[in-house]
Amino acid sequence: MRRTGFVAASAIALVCIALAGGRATGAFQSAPPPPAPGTGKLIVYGDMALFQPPGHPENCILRNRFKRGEPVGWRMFVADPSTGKREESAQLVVHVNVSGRTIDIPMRYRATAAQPEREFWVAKWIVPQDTPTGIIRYTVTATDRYGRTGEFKPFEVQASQLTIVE
Amino acid sequence: MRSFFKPAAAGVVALAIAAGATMALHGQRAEGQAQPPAAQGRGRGAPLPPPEPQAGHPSGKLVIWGDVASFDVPGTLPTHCILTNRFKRGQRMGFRMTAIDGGSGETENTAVLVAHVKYAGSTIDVPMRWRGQGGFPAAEYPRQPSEMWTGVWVVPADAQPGALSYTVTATDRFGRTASFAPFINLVSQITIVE
Repeated sequence: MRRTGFVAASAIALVCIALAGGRATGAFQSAPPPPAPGTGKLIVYGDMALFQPPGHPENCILRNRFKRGEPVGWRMFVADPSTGKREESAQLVVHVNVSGRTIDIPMRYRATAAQPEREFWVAKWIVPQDTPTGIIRYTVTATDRYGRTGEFKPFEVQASQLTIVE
Repeated sequence: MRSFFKPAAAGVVALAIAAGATMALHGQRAEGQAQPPAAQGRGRGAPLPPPEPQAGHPSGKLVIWGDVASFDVPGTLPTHCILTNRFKRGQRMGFRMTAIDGGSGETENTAVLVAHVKYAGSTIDVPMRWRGQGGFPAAEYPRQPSEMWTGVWVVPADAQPGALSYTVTATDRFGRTASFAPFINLVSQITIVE
């Protein structure tokens, strides 16, 4: 009888531990296999800066407010979803929606033999003189040699959208 | 003897329940780390419950990215949330990040992000808050910014002018990790100005 009681208690204890342990460690169970190389959606991200000529004191400072005639610069990176590393075959285009029409601006890969560390894509758009003030929407799309695509949209925060000011 | 075994059995059960409760609590804490300390920032109260599990996660790599902005308050200031990398002393430097589940391309809402600012020879860790829960100012956001994490560091009053470096790291509930560093161009690093 004594032994039966002890065995029963032990069994209950084991069940408690197993249930709780399963809950606690379930979050760290082995993940499903990553998407096979060449599959999935590209991850596109980056920022916006003032693209004055090299040597200009404000060249490449981060900005989202631009005056007419100023050069808007985009800098983007494309990550393979299965590795998180740069997808070098990607081709990127910025799509700027101005006054009801969309301007497509191809991006170029910035790294060169002399500057291999610049592993990102860039594009520049000079704000036309007739551009109305206010927010201008844009997206960036990417396509790679596997046919994968990806899209970047800036954070949905009004104040940090690309904005034309006087 | 009988009187010895009864307490022993009861003790085993009690220990097991205590161990189980501890392990379960540990799991909740890990998931709940995405919540901010209750006392920081605007309009934050008690921590909210962990977000619902997302179907299909995890898949692929955890990838994070983002930018920096002025987090000047109040939100009605003209410089609030504009993109900049130049900050004055006393200004609120804002880190805005997102975390992506690579395989699905969706936001990984269990990610816990921390910005690490190299300042005056040490590293300052800035915990980030997931903005997919809790209230959000409708005047600033057209919808709940569920893809965004934010963190704030106030530039010290005695900070020396110059560039600072920072990184952001993330861990999600599946044990995946990721790190982010801004583009290497020197001029666009976060910079303290007069």
